[in-house]
Amino acid sequence: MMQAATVITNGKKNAFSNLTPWLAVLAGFSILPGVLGPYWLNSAIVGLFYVMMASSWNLLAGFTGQVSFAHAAFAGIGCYTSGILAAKFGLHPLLGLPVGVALAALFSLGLGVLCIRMGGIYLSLTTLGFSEIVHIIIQNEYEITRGTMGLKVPFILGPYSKITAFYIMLVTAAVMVWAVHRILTSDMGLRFRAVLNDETAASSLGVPVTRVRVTAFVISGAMAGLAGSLYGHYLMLITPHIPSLDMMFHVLAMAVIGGLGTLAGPVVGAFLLEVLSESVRHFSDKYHVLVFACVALIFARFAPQGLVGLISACRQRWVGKRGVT
Amino acid sequence: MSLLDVHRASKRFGGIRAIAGVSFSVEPGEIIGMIGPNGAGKTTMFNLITGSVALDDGSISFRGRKITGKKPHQICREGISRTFQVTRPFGKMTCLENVYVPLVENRPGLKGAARRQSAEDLLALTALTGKEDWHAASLNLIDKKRLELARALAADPKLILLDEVLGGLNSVEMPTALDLIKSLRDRFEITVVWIEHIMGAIMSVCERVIVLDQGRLICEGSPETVCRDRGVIEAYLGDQQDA
Repeated sequence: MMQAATVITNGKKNAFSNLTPWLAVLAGFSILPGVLGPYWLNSAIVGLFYVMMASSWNLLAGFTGQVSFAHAAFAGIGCYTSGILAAKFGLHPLLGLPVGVALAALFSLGLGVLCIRMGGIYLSLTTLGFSEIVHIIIQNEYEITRGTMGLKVPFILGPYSKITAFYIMLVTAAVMVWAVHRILTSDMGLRFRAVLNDETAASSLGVPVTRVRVTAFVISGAMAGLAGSLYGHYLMLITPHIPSLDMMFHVLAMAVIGGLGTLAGPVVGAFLLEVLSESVRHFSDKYHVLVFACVALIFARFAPQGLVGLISACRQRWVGKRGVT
Repeated sequence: MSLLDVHRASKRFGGIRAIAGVSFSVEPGEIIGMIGPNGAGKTTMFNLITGSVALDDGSISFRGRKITGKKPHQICREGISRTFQVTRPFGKMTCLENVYVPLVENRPGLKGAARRQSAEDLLALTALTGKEDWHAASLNLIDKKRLELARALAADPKLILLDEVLGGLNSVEMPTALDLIKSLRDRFEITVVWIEHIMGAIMSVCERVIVLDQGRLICEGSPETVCRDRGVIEAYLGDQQDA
């Protein structure tokens, strides 16, 4: 019975092999600007930013087991780099963007190499420290970053329009999720999973564990840089909130509640929590943190595999029952 | 030239001398048995050869090149692979994916259908046909050991180190497994060093046996010689004068 169930779930059916639901979701999203008012359209854009953040963090934490707390810091490095280049030197955001991504990648390379001898809690603590350092520097270097006042930056492309921003974010998020999928189904993804499953066995079979882990760190950091950079130029006012632990735990909660180590999990988690936090904010500004924490607790206790894991478990049970009768 | 040359290898763990100045060499095409009581240092010897534990002293060469100080993945690419006594499957990956990992690293030219074919052949060789898409964690212990072997073979080794691969097999499965080990050399031209507690199995397959006891090499020779050796008998049964 157990084994029969395992065979069913193992049968090559990766989340993306069935492309239809993903295309349906994408199509559904692309008509959103015609349906939603400006308030909820803003939420959708923020949601898309979180999709990018949670998906790229999941690539690192969910598929190589490195729980890094520096993800928001990399987003901050991305957005402040392109933001400062645009605000102080008049560089077009689209040109500043790749510089921001490159710098985020460079920092993640440095941090990745530094952390590589550490595992588990030590890696988490070091990245936590790095994240705080970035946050404090940005907050205090008033001359350059304007600290908590925030730095005014130009819009991504042309005149300000939420619709333009939405489509840019939608396309980038879709490409990023697709890229994560491609990485995971490639030979590199196989290495990621081997390292996650058993480092000792992987290295005894020829997997260069160190290089694989650093690679994951850099790819995921660069993706965070891109997400942060785009988000900053949408907000047009970047503050130290982007590279903050607040942001980091938000992203972490989304990935975990959605389902760590699955492709759909972070996408579902990002939107679920974004919609949830906006809905709660309708009633009161105070309670959304409380609701958030409760949801996270409930999931941690009753559905540690996240929402996506819960759904597939239910589906499996249903399929199993049908098979018996 | 010997395939593998272990020269005065030593390793301490705290106050315990796990391996104390052990030297031996392995010639191409041999099947060598490595035996000894529990805690003799057999698995530690494997860990030293594959680089997962660093030597304190001495050196190890493979095909005339020093491999001391190299990382496990580099040693694997040199052509040494191993199985683990306590199995280490990639539990959340399918059997097929488990075998893909070493194939990707050691035979990069093999892609797509050819890679799949190669992986399926290896799983068939180790009697895992039909379980290609099972999660490795859902296999029973014997199948996990089979998967260990399939994976180690997929790394395309010149020398394979087998750490108690027979444990748990019944009398019907045993001869098949022994034939498989013999065929590693005869069909795949892989040299074998094999740790095993089942003496009958070692006797029927190996030409040469190395005996370790308390980190020392106490005897080396044909199975018959080793069985008659006084030191070996004492190591296993205790000193007769004590009794």
